[in-house]
Amino acid sequence: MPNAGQVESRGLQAAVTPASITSPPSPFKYLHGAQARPTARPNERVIFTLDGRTGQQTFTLRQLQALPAVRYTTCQPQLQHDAVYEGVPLRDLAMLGGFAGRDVRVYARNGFVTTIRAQDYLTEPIMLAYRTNGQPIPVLAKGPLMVVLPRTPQRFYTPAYAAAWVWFAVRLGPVP
Amino acid sequence: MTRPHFWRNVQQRWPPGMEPVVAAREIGLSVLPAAVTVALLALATQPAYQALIHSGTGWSPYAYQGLVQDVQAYQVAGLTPGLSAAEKVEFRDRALSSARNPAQFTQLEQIEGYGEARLNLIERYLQQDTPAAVAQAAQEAVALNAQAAQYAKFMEGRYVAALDFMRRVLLGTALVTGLLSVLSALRALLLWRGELERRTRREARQREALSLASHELRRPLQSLLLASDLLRQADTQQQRMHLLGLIEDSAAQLASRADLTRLNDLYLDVTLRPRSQDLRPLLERFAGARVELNLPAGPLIWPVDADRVRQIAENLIENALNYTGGQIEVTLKEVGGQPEITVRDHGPGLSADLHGQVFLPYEQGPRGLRGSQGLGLPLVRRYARAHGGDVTLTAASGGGLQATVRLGQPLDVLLETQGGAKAAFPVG
Repeated sequence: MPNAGQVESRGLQAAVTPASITSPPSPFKYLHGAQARPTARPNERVIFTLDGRTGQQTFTLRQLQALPAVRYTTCQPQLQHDAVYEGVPLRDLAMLGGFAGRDVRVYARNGFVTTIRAQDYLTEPIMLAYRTNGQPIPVLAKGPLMVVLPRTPQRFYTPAYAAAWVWFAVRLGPVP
Repeated sequence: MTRPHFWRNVQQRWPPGMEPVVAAREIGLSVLPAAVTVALLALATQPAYQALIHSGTGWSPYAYQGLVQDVQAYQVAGLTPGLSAAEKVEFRDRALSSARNPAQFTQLEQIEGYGEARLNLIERYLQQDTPAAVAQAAQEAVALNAQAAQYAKFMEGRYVAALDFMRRVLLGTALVTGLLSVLSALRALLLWRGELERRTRREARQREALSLASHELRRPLQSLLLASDLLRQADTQQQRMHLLGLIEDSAAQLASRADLTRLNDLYLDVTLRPRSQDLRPLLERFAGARVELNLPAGPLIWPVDADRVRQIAENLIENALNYTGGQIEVTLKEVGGQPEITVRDHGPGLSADLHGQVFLPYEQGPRGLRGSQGLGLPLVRRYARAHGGDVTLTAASGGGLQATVRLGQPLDVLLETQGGAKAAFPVG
């Protein structure tokens, strides 16, 4: 069964390259830890790809939901309303891909791409959200997957971070 | 180092004679250019700062470009074979998610003002979902994007103007700072020059005091030497007593005229020590082979500084004796309630235009027998004026020169800088 609560940070530190961050990573408040990865059903679509050291990993929605999850309320600056988002922290995805500690690139379905710095996703629970207010995110609301940042620190709402709130996210990979 | 020690050290290292107020003022003045620069720059860059940081950079053209791409991607998806209906709907929904969310389009009102394209039109076309409508939505999105580009150009102009303004302000501030620094340096220069002049004046005064003192010491020294020489040859007790008296008198005069602690009061800013006394005895000593005295029968009492009056008489009589050959007449009388001393010679006299000039220090009349420094007459005038009177030269009737000294109420102090004008505080 999944272990609720704090995830051990020792394993985290082992995976993280210290040179790229200024402060040690803090533990996130997880909704649930890693669960067993369910097998993909035939009618399920792959909605997310993870470029890792060992190759590409693909995920369906249910497989993403089995990964460690966080949940918090935040305000999307372009949609300009508060909502509760639930999703996988980018840090856990990067660890899965074996490139935690490096800057990452998030790709969107419409061709958009942006870079998120290791400093940011390692210290704050920036997540790949798949649920909002308990429901899956419709495409009309920038879903099914979107990158969502927490309310603090304040810099996440400055123009420098406008591109970090990625809509229609489909892929995550390290910056080469 | 404890605190009291520290402050005592600071006070000891302080430049001597500089009060804390003066020091504070000087420090303030030297800090002034820097302070002015900072203030000017802060004030002037404030509008540019506001424009750039707070308002301008919130805007990004991405939303408008993104909308064009999303609508066109949907348009293309409609023509792409092999795409399922669900996938096509996804394309539409992606474009629609932006078209129906004005919140993600910053400065939308201004940008719609640059043309006819409207965001809600794009939304409506997309909702209609026909190929024609989608094509129109795409055109509208492109137009809106072009309008956004115009807005971008306008903002660029604003930034350029702000930068230009800042550049001009920076140059102006540099100019002002430079000017202030130059003025500061000039001020330092003027202060230094003033200090130099003050020092030169001080030294000149000291030199003058010393010159006058040495000038006035000559006569007492001479009589001292003469008397002590004669004393060697004196036969009788009476002669010896007389000569000893002369020696004592000369010594007293030396002491009076060379009091080094009072040089300023004696020769520069003349400060008298007047005492009411009979003026006749002061002149009686000058009687001699060539000097004829005319003194009044009764006493003539007047407040005078005896030593200074003696120096007046000495100088005038010595000049007469040195510059002329014949008899000298010294007269004391009361004129208009005030004592008047005249010294008259029968020599060649002095041309009228020199009558005033000889009272200037170091100006001499026609070369005398000895090269004296020309200090006697200016000192006489100084002493006469210190007594509330004056000395004048006139041509004597029947040939020769007459010096007339009139005495009045002695002044408290006659300042050298007053040039001899009657001033200050009469001693009553």
